[in-house]
Amino acid sequence: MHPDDSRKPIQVNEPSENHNTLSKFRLDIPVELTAFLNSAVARIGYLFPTARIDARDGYLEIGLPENLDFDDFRQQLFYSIYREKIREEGKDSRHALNVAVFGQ
Amino acid sequence: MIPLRVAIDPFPISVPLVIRLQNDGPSEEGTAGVIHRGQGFVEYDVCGLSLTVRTPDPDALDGDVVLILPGQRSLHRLIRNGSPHNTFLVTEQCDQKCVMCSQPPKAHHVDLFDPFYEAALLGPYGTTIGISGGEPMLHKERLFDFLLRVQERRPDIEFHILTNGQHFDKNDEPILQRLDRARILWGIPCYSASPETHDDIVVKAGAFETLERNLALLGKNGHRIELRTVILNANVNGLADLSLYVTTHHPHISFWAIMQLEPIGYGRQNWGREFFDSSQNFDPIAAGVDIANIRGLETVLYNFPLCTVPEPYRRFCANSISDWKQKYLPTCSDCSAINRCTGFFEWYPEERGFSSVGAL
Amino acid sequence: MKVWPLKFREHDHGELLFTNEAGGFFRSDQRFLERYVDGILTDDDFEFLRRHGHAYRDTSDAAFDGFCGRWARRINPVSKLNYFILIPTLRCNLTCDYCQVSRAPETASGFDWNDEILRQFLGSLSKLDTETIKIEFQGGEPLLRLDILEEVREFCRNNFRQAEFVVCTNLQSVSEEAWEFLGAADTFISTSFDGVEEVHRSQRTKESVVHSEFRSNLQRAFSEFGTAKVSALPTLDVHNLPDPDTVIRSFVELGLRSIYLRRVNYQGFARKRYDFRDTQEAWMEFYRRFVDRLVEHNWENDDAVEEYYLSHLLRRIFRTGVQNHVDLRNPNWLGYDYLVVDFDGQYYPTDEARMVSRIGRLDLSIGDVDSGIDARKRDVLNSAASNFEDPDCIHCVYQAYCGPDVIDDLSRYGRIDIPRHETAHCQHHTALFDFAFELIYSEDPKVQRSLGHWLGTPKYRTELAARLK
Repeated sequence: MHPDDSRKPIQVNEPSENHNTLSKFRLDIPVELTAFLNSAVARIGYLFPTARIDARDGYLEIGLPENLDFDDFRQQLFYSIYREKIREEGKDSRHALNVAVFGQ
Repeated sequence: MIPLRVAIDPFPISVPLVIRLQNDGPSEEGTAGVIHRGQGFVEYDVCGLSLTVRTPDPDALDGDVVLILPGQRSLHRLIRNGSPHNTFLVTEQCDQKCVMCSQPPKAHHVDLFDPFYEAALLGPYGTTIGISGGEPMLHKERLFDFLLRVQERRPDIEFHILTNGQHFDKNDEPILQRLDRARILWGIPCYSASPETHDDIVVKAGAFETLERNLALLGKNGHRIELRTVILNANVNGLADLSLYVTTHHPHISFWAIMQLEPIGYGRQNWGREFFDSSQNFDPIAAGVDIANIRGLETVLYNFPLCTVPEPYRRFCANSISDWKQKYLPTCSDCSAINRCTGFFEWYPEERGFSSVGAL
Repeated sequence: MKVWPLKFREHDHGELLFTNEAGGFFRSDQRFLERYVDGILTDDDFEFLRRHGHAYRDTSDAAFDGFCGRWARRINPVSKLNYFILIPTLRCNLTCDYCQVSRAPETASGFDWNDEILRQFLGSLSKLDTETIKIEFQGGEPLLRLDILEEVREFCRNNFRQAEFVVCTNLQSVSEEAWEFLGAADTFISTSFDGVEEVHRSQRTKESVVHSEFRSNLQRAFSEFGTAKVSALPTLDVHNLPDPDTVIRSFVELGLRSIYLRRVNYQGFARKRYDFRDTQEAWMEFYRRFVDRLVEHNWENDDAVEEYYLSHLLRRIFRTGVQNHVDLRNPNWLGYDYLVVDFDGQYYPTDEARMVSRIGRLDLSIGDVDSGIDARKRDVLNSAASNFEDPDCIHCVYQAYCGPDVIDDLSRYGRIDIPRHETAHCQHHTALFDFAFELIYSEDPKVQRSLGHWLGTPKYRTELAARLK
């Protein structure tokens, strides 16, 4: 995926009726991680369907319902970005593993 | 101690002869039947020639496959009937000089693969034949050829091949694929996870690196490996590390034999420096065994008399010392575990051995 | 140096557990995670990672081959069919509380194998490409059809190099002929014993006369055949959990050293009433308490006792190639190495698949003794047999040790694409693996002593619970 894609707004959830009750947060994402943002945000949206995440230029705009703590959520979001980065960067090793075990 | 060579009267042959000795029944091809028993000797009929064997106990030879070399006044018992410890010593040459070697290398080599092939064909059904040296793989073309020929005629025979693992390479893969992997177990020594320590012990620079690569090569080709580690003062404290290393980087290894030092050859020369008295301190060995067990690597302790091993670890001890070089001490006669115990090497120096030995 | 992709999960005291796809693991902290993600690992990091099988120099490095070997050995291979679970009859002489679907009344008709099914089954055995066979007789109560058991056993003994039989019986009513049948060296007994007399009675035997019959048969089985031939499994109701110490004591008195705690597997209506989500917490609380008591028992006594499934999980964590429990493998191939043959001759991939089908919710049969395996249907079930590419499992630290349970997902949710973390199978196993790793990293000498027993070695070694500082 092209790093620029992550700048486009990503709508994870349809705006819901209680949209206005979400607490808003801004989360800056280090530039070296933005390449993995799209897939991480997709996954976090799936794990926390009540949260709202919009990707802006270099940061995320996050709306959380009352039962979600921002610090926890931020932690999970970063973990998710890390996981996507690790998985992406492990592709060569995984390919070498498959070649070694299955010969293709 | 069981004799592996037995005196014979001069026997007129010009090429090595392999035959199976039999007490009764008519002599057929490859077998020699008894024709006369005398005081301290026995005569066999070998294709019409008389072979006189000097032994007080001819029954012990019944069914043995023996080798007679031209001009020699003794026969070699290659396959002793009913013994699980039959080994073909294919060469005395070696490229390592391991500090504990029980069979120090010699420069001269006599190729006996053809008589060994004949002997294998005469062996009992399903027998296991040890292949040892020296380093058998120094003659790997001949060895591979021998193995392939035997497995074609006698697919029931199993081989336990002791090798230092230095002489495999990628070009051997086609043959490794043709060999019957279910019936070959490669016994390969590794003394330490530290390359320097291993190289020092085998007295060969770069040996560890080659070994590591070849263990992987055998594993990738589906061959079964028994890793062999002799306990020395030089490596005993690294046994836990070695256990971690082996179970991490060589998961295809089937068994791990941890062995006490055999006091013969270089092992005898270096006994004072390298014998580790495991009856005083078993901890480093226990750590190696535990780690291997937890990781699922089957581990066996060879040449450890049971009384020198803490009770919880005795179940890992094998009665391993070959019958022909095994002995028990006077104190052993009162021991309740003597039947399960490996005992001592014939040449075990009691005064310089385990400090704590005694009947259980 | 390259690092194999690491997965991570928060554990106690701010530590993180890291695992790789070949099942290697270690604990470290947030600072390591950041160094790793930022690509600024130190030489010490690399040395630790290579030593423990998480990194390699290049593909000619033994560390690379070692990882490939460990990874490959964790894959459960498709193996030959050599294990059958037979339901020669669905009839039973007990009416246990939670067994509405897999039994019929003792006097009912039409719930037994007929001669045709027996003939067809034996015919299918003779076509098998295996020298060894294992037959498990279930029910219903299989001893009600001793004649079928005799005939199957005789056929297998004559047609296979090695044959082994397990009779899953309630030991309620055992004739002298049945005792004789059970006494053979190749035949084993598996029975239910809920661990506490009152619980067993209230769930199963009900009346005291009936219960004392069971009790005396249980005693006879153990005294005559010993624990090498007889095993007993408890089934526990999460709403009526027994005292762990009493259960442990009852099993030890019988000479049993392995206790497999299973909770009642509710089906149909009862499953709705006893929803998994409401009971999981109570079950895990009990389970942890039970294991704590086991640890205490093993500290005080020489004859160590294990909880079977926990030991199995520990072995799957530390070892490769542990495929001996059909409920947890990856891929968990269905309908290949073992088959269930129901009273009507239908094939099912598992016993749970049989029960799900019985209540009419889904038909998970995959053929029958007459027409053979329905390969198309089996393929459909096996399309989700592995967790390798599961979008949730690929992020899970426990992926290498775990395995999917398609039948459980189907039986609970009617579908297999529920987010993993919302399924009972995933929630339960995540909790179990969390607990297993708590034990693995425990500094309590009592826990470590038990770990040694459960992993089959005199002493547990903390070198295997690696930490990267």
